[in-house]
Amino acid sequence: MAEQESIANFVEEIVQKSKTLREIIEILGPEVTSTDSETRESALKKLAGVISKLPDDFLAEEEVLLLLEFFLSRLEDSALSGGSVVLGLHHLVVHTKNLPTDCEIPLFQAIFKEGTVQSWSQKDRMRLFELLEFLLKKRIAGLKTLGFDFVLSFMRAASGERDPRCLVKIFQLYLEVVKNFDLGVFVEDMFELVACYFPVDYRPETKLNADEIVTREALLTGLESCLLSHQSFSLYVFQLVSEKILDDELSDSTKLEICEFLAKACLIFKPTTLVTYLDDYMTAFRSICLNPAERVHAKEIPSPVKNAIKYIVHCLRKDSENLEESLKSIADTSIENCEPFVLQAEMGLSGKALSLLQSIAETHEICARVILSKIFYWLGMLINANTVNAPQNKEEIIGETLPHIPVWLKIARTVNFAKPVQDALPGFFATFEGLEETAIKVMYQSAKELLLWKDLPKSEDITKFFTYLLDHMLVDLKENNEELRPPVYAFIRTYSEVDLENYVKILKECIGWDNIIRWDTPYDTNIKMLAEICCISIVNEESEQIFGDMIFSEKLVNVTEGSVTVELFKFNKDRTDRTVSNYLERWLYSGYNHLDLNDLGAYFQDIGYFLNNSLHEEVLRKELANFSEKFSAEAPRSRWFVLQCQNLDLMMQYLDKIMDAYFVGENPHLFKNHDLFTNTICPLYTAILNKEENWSEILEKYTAKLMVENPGMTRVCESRALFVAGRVEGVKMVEKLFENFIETPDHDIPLVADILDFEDRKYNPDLCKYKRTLMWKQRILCQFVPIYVRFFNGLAKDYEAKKSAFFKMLIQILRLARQIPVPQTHELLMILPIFCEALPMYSISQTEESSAILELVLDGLLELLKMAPPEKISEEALKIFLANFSEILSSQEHKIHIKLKTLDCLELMVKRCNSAVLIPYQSFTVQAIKKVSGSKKEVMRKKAATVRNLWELLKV
Amino acid sequence: MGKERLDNAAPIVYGVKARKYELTERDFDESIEDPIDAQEVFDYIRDINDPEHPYSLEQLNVVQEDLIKVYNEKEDPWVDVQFTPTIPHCSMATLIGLAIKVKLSRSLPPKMKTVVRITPGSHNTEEAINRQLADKERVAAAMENPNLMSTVNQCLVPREE
Repeated sequence: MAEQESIANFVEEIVQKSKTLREIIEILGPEVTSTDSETRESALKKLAGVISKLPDDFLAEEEVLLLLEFFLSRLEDSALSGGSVVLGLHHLVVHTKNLPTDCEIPLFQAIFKEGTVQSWSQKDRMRLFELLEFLLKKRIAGLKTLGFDFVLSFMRAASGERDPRCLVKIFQLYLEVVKNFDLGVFVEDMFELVACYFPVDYRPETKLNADEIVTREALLTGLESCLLSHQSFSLYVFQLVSEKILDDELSDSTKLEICEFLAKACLIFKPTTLVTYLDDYMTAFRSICLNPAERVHAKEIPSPVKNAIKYIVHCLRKDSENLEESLKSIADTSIENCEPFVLQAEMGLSGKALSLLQSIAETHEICARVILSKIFYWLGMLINANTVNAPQNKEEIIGETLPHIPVWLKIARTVNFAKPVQDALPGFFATFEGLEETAIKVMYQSAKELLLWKDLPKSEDITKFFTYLLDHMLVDLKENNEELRPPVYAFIRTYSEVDLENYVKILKECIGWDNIIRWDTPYDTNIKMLAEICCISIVNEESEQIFGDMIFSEKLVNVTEGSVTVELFKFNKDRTDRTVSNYLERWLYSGYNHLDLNDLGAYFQDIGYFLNNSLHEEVLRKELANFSEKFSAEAPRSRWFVLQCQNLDLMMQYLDKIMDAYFVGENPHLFKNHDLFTNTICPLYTAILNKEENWSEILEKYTAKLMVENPGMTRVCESRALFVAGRVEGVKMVEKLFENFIETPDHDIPLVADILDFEDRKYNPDLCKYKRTLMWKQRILCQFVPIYVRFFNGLAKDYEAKKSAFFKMLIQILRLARQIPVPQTHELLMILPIFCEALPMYSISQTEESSAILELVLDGLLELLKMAPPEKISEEALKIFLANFSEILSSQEHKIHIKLKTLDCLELMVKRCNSAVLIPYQSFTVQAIKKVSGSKKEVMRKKAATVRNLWELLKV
Repeated sequence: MGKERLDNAAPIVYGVKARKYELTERDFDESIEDPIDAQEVFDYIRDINDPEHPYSLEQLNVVQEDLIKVYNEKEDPWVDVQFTPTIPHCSMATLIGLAIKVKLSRSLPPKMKTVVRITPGSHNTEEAINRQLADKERVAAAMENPNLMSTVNQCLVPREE
């Protein structure tokens, strides 16, 4: 303390010019020259302290020079006692404005050449490296004159550094040195200086403060940049990688990291030195990918290996002369070494070996051609299980091989290498026929590849194969096999796009189009299926012409499922021709009569989601024009379609017309259709308010009229619109909503939680294309929960009716929280006390209404237990929950659903919470569960058995 | 120290019964009583882990639904469970029997009694083991033994889904 005080006094005296720095030094003189090293260090500390507190421009150049010389002369003396000299030097160099010119060389030489940096403490080393960083940035010209001497001294200072914080700094300095100095004969030494840290074997120490922790990633990135910082390192880098990647003592995850590094190295260096190590790398890749003990990457090979292969080939491309030879060598050795893994399928590594070869084949045509010449023969053997010894394994191996066929067909198509495919196809077709259902998905996928392969001569076999699939497709679609739908759709679309004429011809033959007129009601499913095929076949204007005619023909019109129509628009959404608009026109004219008004509105909205703005607007204009003068009370089909519009004038015209129809009339009360208000006017009002910049004008125009009709709902609409748009007024409106809700009588329907309901298609911000902020769900939750909790806490203790309304909102809040990928811990914990209050209120009471609320509360609690970090749930809260769960399970009155949900909560608790916290309540909880294990319902007994067993196992 | 030699190093692994039961309205209708049946009891014990192998008792055919009898007598309901060790000299048979007994005691209604015994003719010391498992006091004493219960509990840890 005294030291600090004397420093402060000195500083004040110097700044106010009552003493000069020289006088201060004179005062400190006896201490500085004392024979006791501690006294000397203390004096230096004071001096360094004084300097560091002076304004940056206070010291003149001569003074700085004097002080620097003084501190440098004391450098070795201070090293063993405290390091105050370093503090002084650091401050003088880095912070003072008047650093003398030409001081960098003596400074550098004294500290880094003559001194031993590594003998200082971590903090001092860090300061010295910062000092060097400053010199490298500001005084590089002077340092450059030192040449090799500088490089050598730098290596000496940095060599052997173990502290991660200093290492990060060294890596930064290293880059500067490599950039600015000729490394000459020291290239290898410079490389070795950092290579010894590769691969990074470091885990951050958690006991350090958060801002002191150096992450592994920071260290790794720094190190990698250094290793890749100079072209002359290329030989050493490839050598280092080869040495490490084949090191048996390194784990597979470290080796994957090395693969990632190799990919980066390939991007930077020339291939000259890479070629030497190609064999080593390929051996390493095989050992990583084909490791039988590693089950994590059961089918796929790890992406770092894929990347490394990709970039190795990328690097080889830089040397066009030797490219072919190198690539052939890679492909040949891979084929040779992978063959046993592929063909001896019982080892269980066929899939991985094929994936490894696939990664190689995908890199270059030369590799692909070498591999393709073998692979189809192997695939043929595998799908016939020719190489399998035990018949039990046959099915599994065929199943594992089949998915590879379309993949390899695609590769063959990409490089247009038809020969091996043509040789293999007859065998494949014969096997497919024998396998039937097992292979059907792969057959569709293969057919798609064959269709896309324009240059492949379509033999009779291939055409037969397509015809077979078209025929089979009818069965597959009728059976509603959801897994098959995507490949079937892809096959239909490809066929229709690449060979429309033949497709239509064969399809018509398969379905017996000419006889369709005779199809009758028993064939309804056929007709629906046919409509689906036609709809999916529309992929361009030509196909729209043909299949549009079929869909809107007398027999098929009005049977197409709305969802299939939506699928058509989804697939064609990016098409710029008239396909979509032509079809839409026909659909609007005659395609929907079989749908009820609600479904029609929904499908129309779904279709609208995929239309571009101009088409959307065009359709909406037509819809508006078709409104009759005296619009009937029935809702129009485009009532939710309009919500997506981006043209606010149109939207307002629409709203005005509907409002006119709703509010104006000879006897308005007699004809009012409340559905029109709830499902059309309110959503449209919300959408306009949300999208309009001048929202207050809209509010002014409509609010009074709507308020008369339903004030609660109007307020909710307004709050929701602005809240989602991220406007400040939105938050205020939500607060107002809570205020109104609390002030209104108990029987008023609580609508507040409705603003959190974004699932409803009328208010779904995505589907309605609302104006919304980035991460709006997260924002809304974070804004809503504190308001909710504040108003809840403000309620009078006995205000039960209002509280129950708040409890009902819990589930809405938690449903929203569930949709947010990042756990909203803070908000979840804010509502935890509300659960603690809710449960005791309803666990005993058994009226029908209280049961309903209890069920909602339990639903909410289940969500909370799933998401909240268990260690943050207080013991007090757990105690309350467990006591009430016991109460619920003991009660004779509670319904089975409530008890099952209670058991679900207990299950989640025991699975997620720390067992040490739960053990004190173990016997109490087991006793409670026992009470339901005698239930007369099996479902309850089973649940109780599972949960009880988990609780009994707590000590394990 | 290496792992002790296994009694049966290569047991036969059997397929398991499908377990997806579609729940209907009836399952939640509290006016209808669901009597305990063999399938329900089988569900309680099928997933018990074998003490030696990474398989369930169902996978090793140690427990089978056909070997379970349920007597839903009003006054004295009880369950008879037979289990079949994988080999006649299996030293784990008593432990498996105890694990079944403990799991049933945690699952069935408190007043329901359980008889757990070895399928006749499937084990060399069948009688001795059956006697041990039927002796209430010995079973109670075993359940008081923390080391033994820790081994039993390992068998009752549910598998990851």
